[in-house]
Amino acid sequence: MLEELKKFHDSHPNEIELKYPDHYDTKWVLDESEWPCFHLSALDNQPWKEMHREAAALIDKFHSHREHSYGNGWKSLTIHGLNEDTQSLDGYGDREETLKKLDWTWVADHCPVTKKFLIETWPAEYLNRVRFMLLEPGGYILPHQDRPDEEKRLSVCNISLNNPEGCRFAFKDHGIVPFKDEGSAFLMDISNAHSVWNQSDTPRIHMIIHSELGRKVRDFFYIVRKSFYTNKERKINEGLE
Amino acid sequence: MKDWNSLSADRYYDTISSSNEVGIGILDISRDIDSDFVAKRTFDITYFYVNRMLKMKLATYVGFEKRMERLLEKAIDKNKRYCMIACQGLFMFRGPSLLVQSLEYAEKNPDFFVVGHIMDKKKQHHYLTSGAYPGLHRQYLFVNLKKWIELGRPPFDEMGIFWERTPEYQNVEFSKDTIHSDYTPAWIKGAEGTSKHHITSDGSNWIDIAARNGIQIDNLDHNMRECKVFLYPYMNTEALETAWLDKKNPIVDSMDFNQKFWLRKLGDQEAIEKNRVYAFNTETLSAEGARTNGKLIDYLFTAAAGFKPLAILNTNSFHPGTEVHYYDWCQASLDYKQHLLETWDGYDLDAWLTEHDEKYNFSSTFKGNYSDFWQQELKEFGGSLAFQRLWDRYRKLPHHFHVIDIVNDYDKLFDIIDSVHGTKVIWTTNIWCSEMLQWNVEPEVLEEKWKGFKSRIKDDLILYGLDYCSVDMYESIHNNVTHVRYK
Repeated sequence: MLEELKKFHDSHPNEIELKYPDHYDTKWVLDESEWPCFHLSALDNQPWKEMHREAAALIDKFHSHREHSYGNGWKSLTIHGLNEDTQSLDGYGDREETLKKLDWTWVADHCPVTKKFLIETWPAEYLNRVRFMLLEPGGYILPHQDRPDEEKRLSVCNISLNNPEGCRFAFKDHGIVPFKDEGSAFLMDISNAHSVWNQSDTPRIHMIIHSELGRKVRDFFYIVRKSFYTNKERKINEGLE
Repeated sequence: MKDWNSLSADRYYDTISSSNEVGIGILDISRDIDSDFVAKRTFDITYFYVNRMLKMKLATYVGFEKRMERLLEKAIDKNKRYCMIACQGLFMFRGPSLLVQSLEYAEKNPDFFVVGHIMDKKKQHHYLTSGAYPGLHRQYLFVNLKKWIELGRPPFDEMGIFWERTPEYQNVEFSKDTIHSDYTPAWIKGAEGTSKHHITSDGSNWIDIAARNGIQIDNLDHNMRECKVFLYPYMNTEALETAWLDKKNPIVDSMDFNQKFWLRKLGDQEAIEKNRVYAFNTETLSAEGARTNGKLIDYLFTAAAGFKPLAILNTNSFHPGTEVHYYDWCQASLDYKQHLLETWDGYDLDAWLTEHDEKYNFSSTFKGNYSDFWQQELKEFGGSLAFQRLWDRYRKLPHHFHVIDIVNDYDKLFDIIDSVHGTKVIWTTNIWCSEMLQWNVEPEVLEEKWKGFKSRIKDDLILYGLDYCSVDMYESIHNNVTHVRYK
């Protein structure tokens, strides 16, 4: 198992480099680019560190996640869902009824900054399942994919509230997602096989947001567009384009 | 064809009366505009046309907001019956006419909810909203506030994408007639049953609410549509930024129809304005009244346009030694004035203008209709005989001509003004608030130039004309007038 993990990560030693086209096109970026991830740099100034402090304070409340399949030292704590340990929403019977039951869990009461971000800043009308994801030192998530190959699109959002040196999230055939330790938000295409390995001595805490855009489409597009130009400009400034 | 190119178009509207029942708000869509420059400038120009209606006291400005309902609430706070919402980038170049037509519509349809651009998304091929529940384009809405309150003050929803929580909306029926494309029906109303929709449009919920309550929503008719243009500032934004000042840039050819139309119109107008001659004025001749406190005018510094200089002299009185100094950035205007003074006897101006129609680039507002405008002029001066006597006295005065751009080179004019002594009057017409100037120069820059101009005005100079905000200079000088800020 560890051999598989090592092989996967050894074969993806470099950070993902995206080639930005000259002109921005929302549809292309989200549905056609085949980018494995996209940095939502428009959100770089969010209070990630405060959100990290809130989640870290609850570290003993996290629940083991996929421990018996492909996770090791991987834990979750649900801030918005059915309860503090909400699993995939498809596993609770009638989905329409399940969606109606979604709400803030007790975790939200302890995480006001995070809750405020999700209500006021995150560009979606409806939140589905939102979780803090902990990966303990030495912990790992074996290579897996959450959607079939033919469903390529950027969708779920993964936010690093911290990302210690030595903790790597890699996408097969693409490379390492350049998460920042000070906090960063990425849209992910989880139809690509991916794996995480925390080879540091610090717990890594990310937040995964599943949501439905609803009437906040334009707010979402704005974040994506602004991020596109910011990312492109950074690459130019770094001499990468 | 009227020019409609300045704020001081009083003469066009002197028959319009309004009890000011309309609040006008500007919808902030800057989030969707990929250029700070275009976002700012589209706001400036949208407000420029709104200001024309405010100046005529046809409506009251209620603000610049991201949400329609905020604008509606503000209009209610100001005790308005209706709210006109113009999106940033909507230029109501015939706003007063649109407002009058809207009020006529309201009178004929007292229970109406909203007039707007109905979008039949089944027939519009937009990559995101194609096939969506119909909506109302956010560029322009005219809302009956009483009905909006009756319907529970619903917010105006933005377009939406729903994978799971699909809203259930009333089915609708469209008119067979369309306005300009097959996706713009003349009206929409409710039909039997409801259905769920994965994609909704701007204002879909208003269509649904109206349909559920048996209210038909009408589209703008052709006459209303012709009063405005929407620049779609979120489309081809980079090109729009390039072409804003460089209106003849070939990039214009690649733009959206409306953008192309508007920029070409402005480009042509700019070229025409370089030697444009105004035989008549767009302002009323003597609205301001006398301002010299009974003193005869010794020196008049005036733009060369029309008979307003003569009206100012007549209203305040003058003497045989009164000197008239004409200034204009356009040599043709000065040439025309000199030519007229030298050759015209004060009778049948329409005949003189027709005779010289080819020589001068007369404003299209008056072209081909000289007789009517001349008769109006005579009426305002007290008849043919009174005019002719006045013209005779006027012709004999010493006349001086100066090519001066008073916005960019005002020192040149003030050096002349300061060199003489006596009762001095200046008339600047609408130079500071003309459409082309406001398009080319943003208000913050104009304000600085205006301040420079203002700083040269001494207490003994009597003022006629408008400042850069279209406020009478007389008032502007004594109050700290400034323009409405973008953000």
